[in-house]
Amino acid sequence: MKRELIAYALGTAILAGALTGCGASNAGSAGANDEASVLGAKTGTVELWNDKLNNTDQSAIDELTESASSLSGVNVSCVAYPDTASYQTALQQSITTADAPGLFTWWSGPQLMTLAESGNLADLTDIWNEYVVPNGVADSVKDSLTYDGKIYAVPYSIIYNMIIYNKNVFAENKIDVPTTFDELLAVCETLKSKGITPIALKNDSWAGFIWFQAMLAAYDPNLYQGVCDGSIAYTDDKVVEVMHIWQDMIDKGYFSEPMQITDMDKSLANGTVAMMLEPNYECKNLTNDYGMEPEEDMSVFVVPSMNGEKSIIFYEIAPLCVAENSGDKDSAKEVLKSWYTKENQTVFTNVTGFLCTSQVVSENATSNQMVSLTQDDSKYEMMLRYYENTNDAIRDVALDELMKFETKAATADDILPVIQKKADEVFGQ
Amino acid sequence: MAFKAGQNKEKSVIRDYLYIAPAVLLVAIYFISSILYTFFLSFHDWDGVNQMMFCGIDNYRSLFADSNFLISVGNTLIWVVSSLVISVLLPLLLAIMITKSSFAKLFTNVFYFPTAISATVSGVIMATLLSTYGIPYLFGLMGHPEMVKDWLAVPYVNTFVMILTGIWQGIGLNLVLYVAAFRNVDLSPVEAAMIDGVGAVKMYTKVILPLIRPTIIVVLLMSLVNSFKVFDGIWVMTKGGPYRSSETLALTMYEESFIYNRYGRGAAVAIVLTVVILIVSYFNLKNTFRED
Repeated sequence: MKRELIAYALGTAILAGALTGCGASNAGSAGANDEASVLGAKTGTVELWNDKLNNTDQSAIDELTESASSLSGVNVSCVAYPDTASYQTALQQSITTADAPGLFTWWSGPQLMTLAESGNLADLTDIWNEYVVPNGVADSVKDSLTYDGKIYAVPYSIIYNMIIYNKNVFAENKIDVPTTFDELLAVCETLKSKGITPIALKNDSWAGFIWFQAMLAAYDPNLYQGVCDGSIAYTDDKVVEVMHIWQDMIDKGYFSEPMQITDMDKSLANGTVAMMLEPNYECKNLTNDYGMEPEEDMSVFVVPSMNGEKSIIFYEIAPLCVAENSGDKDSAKEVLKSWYTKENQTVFTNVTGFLCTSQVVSENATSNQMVSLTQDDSKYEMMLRYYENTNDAIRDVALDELMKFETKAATADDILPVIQKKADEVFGQ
Repeated sequence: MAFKAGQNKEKSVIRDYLYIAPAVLLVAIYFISSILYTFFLSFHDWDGVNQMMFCGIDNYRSLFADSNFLISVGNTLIWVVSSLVISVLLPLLLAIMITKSSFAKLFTNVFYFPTAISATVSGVIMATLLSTYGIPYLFGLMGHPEMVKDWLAVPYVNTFVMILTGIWQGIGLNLVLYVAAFRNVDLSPVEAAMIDGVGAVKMYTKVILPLIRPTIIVVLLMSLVNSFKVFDGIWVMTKGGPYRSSETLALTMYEESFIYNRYGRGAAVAIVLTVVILIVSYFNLKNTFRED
């Protein structure tokens, strides 16, 4: 009897737990909604959701949130998701409710446009004009954050991609930094003849576009833009010609086998590879993890144009958004007003390694060199990278096909019609 | 008196239902409802943000026309067959060899050790070992520069490498089950066979293995289901790449849903995977219960 009573009690407890657990999520969220909607702006609290700080020390995150809190007067807390997919899912599930985070990072291009189009993002045009650009953020990047004439995000980070090269390898082999594409090919040939792999290729499911965009833009920036927006076919003669140039470079051994980024860094540092086309944050890793002294052991240059035009610097931008439905929307906007001040951005750069404004410099001179090159309008032009600049359905197909091309599993003539078929489907609609 | 007995029986039945009610409710709330929702989702087009649109069987139709999905099905079959053949037979052979050994415990512990490591950690270890500066680098030093590449970036080679990793990790548990089964075998039929002068091979195939048949079936089923749902090791080592060539159905389900935000297609993959596992498990369980 006693055993039965215990069993009943346990059963009832589990049942009650399960039911209240289910109910609690609703009740809890309802409570939170009420609380957020009533208290959000008054108490000035806001959560910053992201998937960018999961490898950052808690003390550094605290430093960042304390800086943002003290400057804005709003209590900022950071919620760092360890996994991109779970982050996207959590955000998508909350974005339409008052539980949505005040601030959150997202992806530019189609993913940002989807959220903007659905009416879930707050219009930040005023903040952009009054608090972002005056604090040294390049106004030219706003196009990638604009939908229907309104700016729906500010940059959490702006990343520039250039060729990082081993200065010692160049010096030992008496190689100068190439200023034309032909010179780049000559550099590759010289390095190859000395037994050094000229360029490292990245082995990552998304990385197939890195050299594709660089080659297209080096040939003709308009060709790149046309391919991205669908006005030029992937099977266009010019695209085919560019791909054959690239194919020729691969056949001549100018590129390594695709390798993990840690192996790319290691190879660049030990001089078995001379160059890699990577973003500015990689400079920090090369210095901290592989001991490459900025501007002593490594430096950067932009992939030169094939026809003497301006060289293209590709940038990627991680948008920082405010959820339209969030109970903390007003507090979030308040935080953004001081987010780009020199004080806050100094802390931000120290914590993340990212540079967003011209007011702040990085501790890494090569990273700074990248940023300074972006400001030379006479030689360089900025373009949004392919990943965010084209339709995601086409991009997903293109990434797989381009990786087949890089690994020599398919030729240019094999892959371009496959990508174009998808482009026809998408743009045909 | 009879009335009282009937009343007691009725009370007992209610009590029995109450005992299982919490478990039934938990399963219904957290498991069955998820399956039903996934089934519902598989007939819709949804990106997780915008309005869900009913699309009939388009998700299923597009899946079977998608070469990536078909590659994923092929990879899953390779995993299943390899796991069944190697994960069931190899530990059995090892168990036969070490059961009579003086160092049976030592061997069992050595083989079991990789099981204590999580699939994620073993994936990281293998990814490091097989990267350009791991084992391939040693081949380069030995005069084989063509081998110096990230082996996990080589399509189809990587699938077999990952299968071997999975086997290396899973072999210990199956081995322990077999060793335990051998130790608990009823010795009288064995002794009778020995008196009849049965040879070693026949002893195992005709006497001992039939005696441990329930254990073999458990190992078989576990290996089968595990090979269908394999995910973590692949995710850590190749993320299904390069160009989705090493994906299995579990990975395709995840990628479609959470990487490409095509929740309907992801749900359709989940339903296909569930149906296949149910069919395979049904036939296995049916045979098991019928013969035991």
